[in-house]
Amino acid sequence: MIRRSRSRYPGPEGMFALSFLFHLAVFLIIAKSQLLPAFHPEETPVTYVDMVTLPVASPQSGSPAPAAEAAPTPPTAAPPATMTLPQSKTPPKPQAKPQAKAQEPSASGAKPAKPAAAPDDGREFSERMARLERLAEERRQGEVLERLKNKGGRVGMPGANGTEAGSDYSSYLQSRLKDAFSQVVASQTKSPQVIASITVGPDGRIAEYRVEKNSGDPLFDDAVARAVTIAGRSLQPPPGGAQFKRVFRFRPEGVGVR
Amino acid sequence: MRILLLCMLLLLAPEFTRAAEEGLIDITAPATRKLQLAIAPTTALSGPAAPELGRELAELLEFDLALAGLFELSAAAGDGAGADLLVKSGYAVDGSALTVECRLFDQVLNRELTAKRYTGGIKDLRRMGHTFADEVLRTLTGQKGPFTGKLAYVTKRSGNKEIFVMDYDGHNPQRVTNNGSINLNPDYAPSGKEIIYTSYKKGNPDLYRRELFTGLEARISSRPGLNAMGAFAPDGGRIAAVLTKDGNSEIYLISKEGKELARLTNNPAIEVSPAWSPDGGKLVFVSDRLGKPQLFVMDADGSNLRRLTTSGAYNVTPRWSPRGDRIVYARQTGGAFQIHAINADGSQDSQLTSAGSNEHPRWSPDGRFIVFSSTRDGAEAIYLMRADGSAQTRISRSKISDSHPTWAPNW
Repeated sequence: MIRRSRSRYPGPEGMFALSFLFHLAVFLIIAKSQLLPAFHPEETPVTYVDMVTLPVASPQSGSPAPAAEAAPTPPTAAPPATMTLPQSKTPPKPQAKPQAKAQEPSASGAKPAKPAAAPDDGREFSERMARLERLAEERRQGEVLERLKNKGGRVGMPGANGTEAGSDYSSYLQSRLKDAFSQVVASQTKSPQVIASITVGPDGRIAEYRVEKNSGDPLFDDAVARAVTIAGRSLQPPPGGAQFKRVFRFRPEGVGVR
Repeated sequence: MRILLLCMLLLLAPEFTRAAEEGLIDITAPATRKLQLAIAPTTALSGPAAPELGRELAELLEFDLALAGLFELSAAAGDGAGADLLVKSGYAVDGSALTVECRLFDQVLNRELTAKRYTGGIKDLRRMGHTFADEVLRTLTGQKGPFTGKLAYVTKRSGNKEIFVMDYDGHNPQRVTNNGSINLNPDYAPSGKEIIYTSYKKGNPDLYRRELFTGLEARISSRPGLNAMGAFAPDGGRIAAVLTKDGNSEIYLISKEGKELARLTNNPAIEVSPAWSPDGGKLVFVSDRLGKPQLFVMDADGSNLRRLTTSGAYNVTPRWSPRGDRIVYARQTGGAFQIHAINADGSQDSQLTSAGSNEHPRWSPDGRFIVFSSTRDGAEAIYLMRADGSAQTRISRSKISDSHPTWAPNW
């Protein structure tokens, strides 16, 4: 009996291993969904998708004969599938034939007017089609932009009041740190680098500067600390009145750049 | 189970590392610059004012810290405005007693980095200043400066070649030998408290060991022929030396008492100038076994011999950097010697001097500087430079021939 109960209980090591596996699995699930962008290479910004899938033409815009009648139809009501309508009236075949005929008269010199009529019709139709499609596209892009504007309320960072830095606070902070770093960078080793997390408080001051990995070169480590101090003197607050935290890697230019 | 877990961790590690690195935002800057350092005028803390002492202390600090190569000294405005670092110093004289206080401030981070108070006699002023300069380098770089280490050297100021010691900046020369003979090749023990040197005072070039504080001396090798070019091993217990007792110049290992421990070279060619690697595991030396004097490296037991220099027809007097990465030596080019430095693996040979004839290079104990003798100003004199060859500065204050300098590890 004792043996049976022991065989079911995997012992402290087994329990530890099971616990570790469980935690690892939980961590991987969290990491996969939030922390590891490398696991989602296909992910793309929503706005980009929205812009490239704009409808390109209305059914009426491609109809050559009753152009006046087609105008009142609202373009938004037209299903994109009817784009192929013009092609049913002017198949690709007639376009190819007139072109071939047009070359014959130029070679023989007889009756140039008649054969030229067919290509003119085709070209005119194509130009009209293109013009109409362009107009329709511009109109629809304008409508989509208008819709996006209305949806966002106003342009800028949510909750911003106009005194904060621009929409990309990371880039702004990077720029300020780079300027400050150029003023104080000093080292005595060949390829030093410091990895540090910087937290900017809602008031625009450096709330926390924590070195995650130093360079082993005290001269360089101190230079980074000085750069952060200098940059922190004149920072704009982060947008939305929240703290802003990022991890930065400081190094002399050209060192370990991939 | 353990192997499975280990494998999983190993497989996931690169992913985690890559993910972590992708989240980093790079901050880069062009080539590094020097720190702006201001030295405020020295002030009297209490007691009578002695402006000459304050001036001497400020000049000394300025000389040491400028030589270090890390700083750009700015005009010594009192508050050090605009500088990254500020050095403030003060003194108090009480009879012949002197107290010196020095402080180093980080002007950007707005904090005091170090503060020291030294007490002693007025004669100790320079030593106090050098000690604080050492401390500044230790605080900022993590490695103490070499400015308190003294130089031992050979000088003809008394008419013969005698051994003296002086501050690294040429001040306070003090006589070590006074035998009216020829004394050569001083080398410090790792403790800095004793030296070995070769002297002809008893007719034969013998090897002597001398305690600098007590003046006690022992002749540790008086074998027939040459007993010269002794070099203390980093452990301080062994000495590599050149002996010709067997008719040819060979490198031997002897104890600090003079007992022969091993013969390291055995070749009909001439082998001279042994120098230890900082870990004591290797020796670099000069041999003409291939026709011309070239540098060779071997293990401390004489095995694994390999040639180090492949260019230059006459390469001599090598010394291994305390950091272990470079070896400095003198190469004869066009009738004059020039100082070169080469990586310990034989790569990146670079010429460091060009004016006059320059010989006998030795490293400072921290590897930041090289001291050597040069004829660029006429008579042979002692100079020093940074390890990259910059800031070549004359140290000798006399116009008499000074040569064979060596820098003490400690004093």
